[in-house]
Amino acid sequence: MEYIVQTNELCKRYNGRFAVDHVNMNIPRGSVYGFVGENGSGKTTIIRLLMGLALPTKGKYSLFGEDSKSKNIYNVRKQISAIVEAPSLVPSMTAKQNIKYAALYYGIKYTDEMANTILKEVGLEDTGNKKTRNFSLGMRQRLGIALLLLNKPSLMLLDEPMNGLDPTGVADLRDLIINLNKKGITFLISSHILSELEKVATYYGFISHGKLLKEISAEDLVAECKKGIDLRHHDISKLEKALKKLGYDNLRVSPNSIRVYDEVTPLELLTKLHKEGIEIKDIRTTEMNVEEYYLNMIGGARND
Amino acid sequence: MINIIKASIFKLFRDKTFQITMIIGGGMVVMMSLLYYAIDNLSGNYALLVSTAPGSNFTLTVPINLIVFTVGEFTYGTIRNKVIAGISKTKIYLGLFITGLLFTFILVTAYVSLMVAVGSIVGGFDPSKIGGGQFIGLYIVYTICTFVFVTALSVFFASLIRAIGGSTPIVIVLLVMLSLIPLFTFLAQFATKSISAVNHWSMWINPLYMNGFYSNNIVSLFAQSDSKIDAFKQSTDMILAGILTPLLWSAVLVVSGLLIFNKRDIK
Repeated sequence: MEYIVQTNELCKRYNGRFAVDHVNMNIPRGSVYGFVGENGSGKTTIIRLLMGLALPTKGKYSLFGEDSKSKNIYNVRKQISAIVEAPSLVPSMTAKQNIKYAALYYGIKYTDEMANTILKEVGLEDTGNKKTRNFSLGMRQRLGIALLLLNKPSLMLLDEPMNGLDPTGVADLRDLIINLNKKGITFLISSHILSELEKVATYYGFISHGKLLKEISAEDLVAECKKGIDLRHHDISKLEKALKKLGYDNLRVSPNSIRVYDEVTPLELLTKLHKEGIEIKDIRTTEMNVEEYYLNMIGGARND
Repeated sequence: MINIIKASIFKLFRDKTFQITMIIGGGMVVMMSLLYYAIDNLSGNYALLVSTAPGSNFTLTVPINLIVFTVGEFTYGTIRNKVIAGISKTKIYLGLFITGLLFTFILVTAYVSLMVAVGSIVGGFDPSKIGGGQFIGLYIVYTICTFVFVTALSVFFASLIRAIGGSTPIVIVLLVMLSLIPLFTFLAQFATKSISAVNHWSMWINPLYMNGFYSNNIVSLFAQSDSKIDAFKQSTDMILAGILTPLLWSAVLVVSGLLIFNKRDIK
């Protein structure tokens, strides 16, 4: 597998605290890399480091095989587009003027026709002459993506791109990502909307408290999202103790239920618990989604 | 580099704050020309001298505008976009400085021309009263060097502090102080001859010395008489100091600004 972004023990420390803690990350070429993590987990900081907006405290990274400390890294970044936190637009300028402004510093010849095509691609065809200060959050997000398309990038880093988009906007963005990915553009997408991320991601990176917990392909993740068994009981702590006594450690404890991820059938579990004096009134099998998988993982990481 | 400058100029002329401050500055220029004429009977020739003092009149709108423009690059995230676009931080900072220079000279030329025009219309224009072509030529050179310094200082503090409220007072206070120092040293020289050494060193340290010296002191001393300003002889030292001091300070500020900008993260 060819990786176009690789980090090596990448660290960023703010006020003595690691925002990015010895991260070794690998983004395969052609993938849609879903970057999953809670608020403040270090996702944005990693994107900022990769784009040169922040300098690493320690460690390094490579983009398209070019070392971060090489002088050529600026040229390599010309193949990358990114939205970090929110699209950066000049509010006093119209959408087309923002496109022209970006075209000027990219060194691309601007034409009105080009602007119209790009605006149409992101569903903003009728807003070219409207000042961006009057744009909704969703429109700003779309225009931000339009600006990314200007320099025909090979890699796009999108930090929470679905923020502020209505359901139609989310669906349109999803289709746009899928289409561009088919054309060979690699994506790194950080998002809280994991249900949406699941629809586009082909590879995942899970991060928590600055540490990259796991990288996994979407296929392997599906295999790992094995079925769990949900047990409901009036005394959760008693149930938890009994399960641990029986050797089941792969648990996710909620206030009203416990989910068991260990390899066991519901019947076998009920029988064993019965022998321990625990009567279960409600049992059901479930399958994990990405969100549950992540919560399960960070639960484990926190217990460690 | 040329792409960044083109982009910055494109943005600058579409910036509402820039347009508004240009208009306010223009209005101030006309008002001040008429005020000078009403109070001191100052004509176009004197308007030329007073209009270029960077720390004492409407030209203070130049650093304010520069700060608004530079800080705007940070707050709108356009600096971030440029870094993301693969432009080196060195080029971005130099781009800010060069755009700042262009902007400064457009603004200063517009303001000075307007003030001289208004002053000349109401009071006439007689270059011989301000020392003739040679003096004016030298004075324009000092002014150019001074505004290179004003630009370097404004861009330095704006990109260091990245907030209009924080950087504007620092730059304005510094410019006013540096402009006023020559007035005190010059007047003190009349009281005691021993101050001349201080005055000598001041012109090699203070980047606004020569500009302030002429616009604050000589104009005020000679404006109300018909004496020629070049009656005060300029030594080679003074000419060199008037050119080199602001340029050297500008170089120090640009290099320091570059080093800091390269080492700092961009939000």
